[in-house]
Amino acid sequence: MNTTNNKITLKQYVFLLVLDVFSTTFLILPKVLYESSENSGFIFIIISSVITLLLSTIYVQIFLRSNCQTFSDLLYKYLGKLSTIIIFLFIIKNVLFVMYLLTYFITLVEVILLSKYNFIILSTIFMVSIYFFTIRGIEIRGRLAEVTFPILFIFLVLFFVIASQDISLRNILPITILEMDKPSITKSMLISQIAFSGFEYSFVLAPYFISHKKMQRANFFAISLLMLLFVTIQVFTTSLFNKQMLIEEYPVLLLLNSISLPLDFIERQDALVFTVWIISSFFTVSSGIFYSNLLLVEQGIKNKSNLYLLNISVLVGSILIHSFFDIDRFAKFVFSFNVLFFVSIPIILLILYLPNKFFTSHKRAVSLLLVFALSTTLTSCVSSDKNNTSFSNGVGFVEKIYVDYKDDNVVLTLNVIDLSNYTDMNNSERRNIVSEGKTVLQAVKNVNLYTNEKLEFMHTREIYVNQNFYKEKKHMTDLLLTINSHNEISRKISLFTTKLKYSDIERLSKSEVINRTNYPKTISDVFYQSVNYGETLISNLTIKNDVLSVDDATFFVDYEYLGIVNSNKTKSYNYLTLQSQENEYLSDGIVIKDYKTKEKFTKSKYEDVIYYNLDITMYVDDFKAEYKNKDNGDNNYSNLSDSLKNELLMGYDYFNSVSYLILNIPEKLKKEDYSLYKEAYANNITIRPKINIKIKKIAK
Amino acid sequence: MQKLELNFEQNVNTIKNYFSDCGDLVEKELLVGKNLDIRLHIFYFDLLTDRTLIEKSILDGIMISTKEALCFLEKDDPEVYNKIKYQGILTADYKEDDDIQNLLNAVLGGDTVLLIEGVDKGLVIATKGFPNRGIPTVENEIVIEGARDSFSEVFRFNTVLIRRRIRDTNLKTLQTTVGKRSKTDIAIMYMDNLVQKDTLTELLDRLNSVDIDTVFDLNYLSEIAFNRGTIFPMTQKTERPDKACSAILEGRIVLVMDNTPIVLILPTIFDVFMQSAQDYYDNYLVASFVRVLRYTALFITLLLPAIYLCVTIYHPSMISRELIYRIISSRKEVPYPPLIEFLLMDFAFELLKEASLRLPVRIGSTLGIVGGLIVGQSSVEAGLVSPIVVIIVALSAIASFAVPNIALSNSIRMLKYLFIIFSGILGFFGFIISLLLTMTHLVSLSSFGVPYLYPFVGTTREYTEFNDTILRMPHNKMLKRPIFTKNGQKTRQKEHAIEHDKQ
Repeated sequence: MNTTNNKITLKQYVFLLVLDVFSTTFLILPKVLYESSENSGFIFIIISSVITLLLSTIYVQIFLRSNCQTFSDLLYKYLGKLSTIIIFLFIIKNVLFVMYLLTYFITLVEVILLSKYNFIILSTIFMVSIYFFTIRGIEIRGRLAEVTFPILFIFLVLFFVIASQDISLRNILPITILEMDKPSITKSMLISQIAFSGFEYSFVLAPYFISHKKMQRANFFAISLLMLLFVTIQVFTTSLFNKQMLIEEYPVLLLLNSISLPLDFIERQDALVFTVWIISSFFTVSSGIFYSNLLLVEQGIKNKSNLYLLNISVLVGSILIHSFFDIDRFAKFVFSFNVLFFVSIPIILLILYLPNKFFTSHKRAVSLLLVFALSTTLTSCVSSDKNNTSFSNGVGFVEKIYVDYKDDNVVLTLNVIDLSNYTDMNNSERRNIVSEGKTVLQAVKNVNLYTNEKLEFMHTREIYVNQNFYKEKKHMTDLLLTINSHNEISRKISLFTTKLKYSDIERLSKSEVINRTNYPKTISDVFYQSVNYGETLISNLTIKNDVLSVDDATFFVDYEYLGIVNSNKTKSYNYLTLQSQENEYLSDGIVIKDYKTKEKFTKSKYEDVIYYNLDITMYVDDFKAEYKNKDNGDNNYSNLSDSLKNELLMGYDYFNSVSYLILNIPEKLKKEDYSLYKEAYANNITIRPKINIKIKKIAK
Repeated sequence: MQKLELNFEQNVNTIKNYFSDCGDLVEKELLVGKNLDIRLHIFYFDLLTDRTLIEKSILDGIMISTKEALCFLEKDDPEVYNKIKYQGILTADYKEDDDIQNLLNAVLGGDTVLLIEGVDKGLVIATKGFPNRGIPTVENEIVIEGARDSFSEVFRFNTVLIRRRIRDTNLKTLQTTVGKRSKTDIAIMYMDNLVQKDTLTELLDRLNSVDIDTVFDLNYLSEIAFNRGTIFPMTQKTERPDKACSAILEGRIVLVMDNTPIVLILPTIFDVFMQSAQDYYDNYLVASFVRVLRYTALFITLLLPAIYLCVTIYHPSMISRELIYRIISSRKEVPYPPLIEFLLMDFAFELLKEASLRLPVRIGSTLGIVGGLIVGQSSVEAGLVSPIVVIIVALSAIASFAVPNIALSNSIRMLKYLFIIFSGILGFFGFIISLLLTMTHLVSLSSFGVPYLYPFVGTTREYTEFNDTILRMPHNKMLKRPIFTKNGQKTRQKEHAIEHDKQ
């Protein structure tokens, strides 16, 4: 009979440990580890897993041989009264760690999900629910883990399987671990070991495991599962985003959002990550409190209000941290403390356990020295910097954004769909809200001055940029950086250029722009409509076998430039970067150095449609990418020839969906196109453009 | 404890006093013996007993069949009692009792008490035969195939319906009464070789601890003894004898109570509330499909309204642009926030449902149409609610009816408000918090030591039974009995049975 016995099963033990550890780590780890070890991150995770397994094995073996019943008993057996101090330090560590996690978690909830609420309300609600959970005892913890873990992780695995079709494992090659300098290796090791923060709870939890004999096996399963999850996340994010990881705050969210689910019903798969994250944080925060209480009880402090006081302490501490402390510094401190305990306790026990004469006579002094040494080493670990982005909730849906400048001020015209008279996507009215600012970001912030509505950018699909604006690299970089730093802006955005000024847009807003009858469904549609309204499309890019091909690209209306953009072709994009001869020039853009062109132009007319085919082959010396200057963070163009600077504006990669390339159109083509369009518009003929551009390297 | 005396008149008067002002009591004095001076007195309640039975098994026996034997006996002859007991009572179902309270209880229970002059013992003759509706057909747990008989209000009918299906000497029926005044009969039925003794002991302890005046129905007992501190049903109720028998054969215990057309099954787990008797009569693939459908319905009832509120109020970017535009625009004229709109609409639906329960069937259907039109269409046209909310409320309501157990369905409907309020106030964060609170509560529950969410939680290598949960495996794959069964009795059928089936 499965009666209440204050014990947990193997499955519960494993799931509980995984949920206790997983928490916020899986959101932060990919970026932080990439910063220190680039594409070798997963190796450090594997190494840390082995270390974790080794340390837990030491603990378990000593525990089993000691015939002790609890963690406190074990420490007391080997450390005597010193164990009390360690236990209380352990409790303090737990409480501090939980304070940090709660602060970090609620801050993120505020930023990402609930900007309307303040920290105190959210953290109080969360801690009340934690209290409700922690008073239930160890069995209930185990059962909840058992029932929630499979549901969450089945979904996560499913999403990773879908995402796997886009990854290129070649991106994680070459593994540069051997070329890394010592500080980087140390830092990466610490970071990856920090990823297992929370596993030290296994020391406290182990005695409550139903079968002590299987403890070793349970730890092995838990560590393997964690390793598998962390490695998968690291490899997937690195493969997909590579250098882009440096500018992404949470690559896992991006990874999930890059997945297109069948039927496109759910737009933001990151909701799933939020689910995993909230539930896992719930476990981790509660675990710190719960295990601290267990330790207090083991110390003979069996006060009923222990849990209540611990919950209150954590809540108050968290509010204080949020109000008065730098959370990132606090993070360094608590994570170091975590690793310290996890590493030092098994080692100290091992030293004390081994029948070595030297250690026997000096073992306590040695252990303390070891603790000291480890603590000083571990405090050097670095946590991630947090980007305080804001999130707007509301029902003012911005569909398009027009970007221009006036008197050196950026002018944003936000085209908002009017849902008060909504009939369908095509026929509903739109209205414009114009905002100005010194920078794009300032202009976005100033929007609040012009409307009381909460604007929502997640469904924005198009950004139109005035041609003069995009020719100015400063402005363009500003725009793209702003887009890049805003989580709430859709990943499915298309960039257009337009020769219309902001004043034209304002004028047109109630006539032509509003009265668009056919909402563009395909690139060709967009192109067709763009031409009508003097707008220009920057289209798709694919790269295979050293040849850059552009399908469905289009000319700008004024025939000065040709725009190309890579949309969701991440694989090909990364292929190009992989082929770059200098590895540091990755991902921040594509540069084509000098070129010669050959064009082949054909057109055919069938009924009212003109099928328009243009093949351009450009021969270039080399592919290169601009890169971020590590010293000052600017984009470095020093490798570009001066002649190309004016002709070729390089795009800034935007998530995985938009990077663009703008090329001069040869004179000959301009004439051909012009005549074609002139004919088309005169006769109201639909144009179906099909443009293929190949860019080949000239053999050296 | 008051006993019968040798003084016949005193005995009769004592009982009469207890039943004073009971107009429905029938008491008659009979005279037998050589000199017609031996007095007998019978007590019974009119129509609580079977008159024919009284006439045939008592009156006929005493007055006609043993007339000759008795007519030679004198008053105070010790043989009088034996003659009446062994020859006069023409039924095997009688017993002796000298405790007045027991005799009174017997009369109140529909039996007939016979007092004989000169004897300090009474005879309790089973003559229960109150009006009843016989063996009714199933009303709520309807199946397309399978047996149609159902438990009724008659205690003995119910135990018989079970015993008829399990012809095994291991089937035990412990009988007792609950209710200080109602003294309602209750039977605890179980398989002696399958039941866990701990469970049985705990059940008896809990029943003994019940201290209540009256128990009119098993639901009283269920709430007092088993359903403490939770909104979820902790006892399985059924009106189907086949379901009760199936539970008994899994090592569970069935409580049968007089005047209750259902029985209680213990211990219970969440999963059994999602099962229907039809599942076992259908093809296992069909049954599995239906079970998946039911679980989906459960989640729709519980979560769909909350998800709708999360998305419309806080996270409109989560779903596709076309859909969110349509949702937002559909409530363009609604003057209050989505949370209030939803609560109002749901309140109207609950009102309709409650009202239709109280009405006769014909008027009830009219109410459904009127309610549907007024609450649905008219309120949408008046701009009081958006059509999407009507759809969500309706979908949630329909889904709630797909949950086969009404008690669980009601719990889920209530719990839905926790999700609605949390999600309406805190969005996705609140949604997850309410989910965690609910799950915490659910995993905390256990029925006689069995985790309520078993086998989704608490499974070990010893206890792993997923072959009859969300999916139902073929009968010949269900080799083991579930967790409720006593250790050593887990095997339901042997492997070779499968081989035989395959051939």
